[in-house]
Amino acid sequence: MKNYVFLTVLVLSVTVFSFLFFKKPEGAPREVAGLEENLGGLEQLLPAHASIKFVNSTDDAAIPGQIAYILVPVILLPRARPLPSDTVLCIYPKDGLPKIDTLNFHPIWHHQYHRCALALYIPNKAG
Amino acid sequence: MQKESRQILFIAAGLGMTGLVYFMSLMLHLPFVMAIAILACCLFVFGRWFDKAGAFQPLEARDTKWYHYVVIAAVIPILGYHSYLIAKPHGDWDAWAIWNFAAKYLSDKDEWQRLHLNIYGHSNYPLCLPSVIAFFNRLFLLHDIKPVAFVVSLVVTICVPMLIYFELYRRQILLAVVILLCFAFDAGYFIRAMSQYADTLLSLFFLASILVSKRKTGDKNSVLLYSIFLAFCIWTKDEGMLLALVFIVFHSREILKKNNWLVFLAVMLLPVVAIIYQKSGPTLGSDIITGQKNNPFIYLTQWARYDTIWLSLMKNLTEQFVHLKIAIVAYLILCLISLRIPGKHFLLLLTCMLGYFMVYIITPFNLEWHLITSQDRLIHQLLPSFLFVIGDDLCAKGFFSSPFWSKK
Repeated sequence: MKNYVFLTVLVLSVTVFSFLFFKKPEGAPREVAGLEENLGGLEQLLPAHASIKFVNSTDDAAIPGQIAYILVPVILLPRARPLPSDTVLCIYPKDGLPKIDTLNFHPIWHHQYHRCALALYIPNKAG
Repeated sequence: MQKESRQILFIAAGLGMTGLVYFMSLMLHLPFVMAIAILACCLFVFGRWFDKAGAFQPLEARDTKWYHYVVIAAVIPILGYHSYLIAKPHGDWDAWAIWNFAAKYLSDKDEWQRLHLNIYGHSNYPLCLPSVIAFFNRLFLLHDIKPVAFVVSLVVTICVPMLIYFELYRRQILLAVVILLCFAFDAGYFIRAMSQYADTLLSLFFLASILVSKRKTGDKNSVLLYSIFLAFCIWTKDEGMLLALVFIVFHSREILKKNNWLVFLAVMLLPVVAIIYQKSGPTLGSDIITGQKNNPFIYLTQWARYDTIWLSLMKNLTEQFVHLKIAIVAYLILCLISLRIPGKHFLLLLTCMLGYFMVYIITPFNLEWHLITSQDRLIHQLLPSFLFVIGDDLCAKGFFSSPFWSKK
């Protein structure tokens, strides 16, 4: 029995803290004004069923519930970091977003901070 | 090697095997049920072998003291609690952008190869961690990868300091507890470990390799076991290749002895195949190599770069890894006082650090940006191995009594 003290405590701790962690409230995304102009033209490049919002990432509660919708950091980071470090650009579906694995990206971006454009397109499965 | 260390090594090997078997099953288009069956067989065979291998019997056979259980029962919840406090729902930037994102792709048996189409999302990174997350995600039929990503991070975050503690407590309980508490109350450790990046998993695999080679050198069992962990290092991050290379150079005599090299090559085969497959996509190679636009050797004579990297290293050590800085300086002073050459494994780790230093010299990216975004994580990868090696050397019998010139 003594041989399994470590494993028992490990499993109990992981279970308890995982449970507590997923009970943490996430809350709704909070919009941050004043950044849209830094990403001129972005909205026009998005597919019709997507829209953009800016949220503050320093606040855990600001992150939306499903990571599938946090797409832009894939493109913007870590090379360009064009947004202020406390800001995450999120794309939300207006009428539901396809599964993440059907998404692909065609980014057009520059290394200069605050000057970035992004095109997101959603190919069909066959394509 | 202590019994609890063996349990942690089994967990680490299990994570590595899970990632590798799952990715190979995707490559070969095997049904998920078959991946589960193969993994179960691998774990069973490994467990049986690991249990019986004579090379890994307990280092010292003294009875376990009661306070050992108190430390376990007290510190593991502290490690878990601090991890819980610091963890963010989706991890940090690169977790969203790279590791968990790749896991999301790998969770889909039909569409996972689209990962390679995302040439701006570092899809050329090794996929051990994403494969582990994707495997459990599918096993438990989850739609959201958050739970698995968090649990894997939490387990690894707890196992790293506990492995060091278990290996040191019978030799010097006070030192073992001090090192454990250094981890348990180091916010920086939890910030980096719970970011859900692959650095902590890499540090666990590398620590395991160092530990195995330190405990038993030369025989086939130890070569087999540390080769397994080195293979997982390579399969976890590009930096793992550098760490494995340095390790191989320092252990070349053992590896090349008798039939050990055959064992070594056999173990390396599967991860190397997986890496070649992974790196042969549109995002070929490593960022440092493929990003080179000029001859990287012109950077070698730009002395200001050395200054910049050194200053950044010292700043990081002072501000974020002060316990490591103190440990290294104290160890070197003690070596000087006792007229000893620092141990082989300590020199191995310094060489790894030097390797990282030289990577920054030839980096094609903006140097300041590259240092700010990654140097602390590279130190984080080596931190556990450094603390273990220093602690273990200081606990060794005769550390202070035999000057190197008196040795034959």
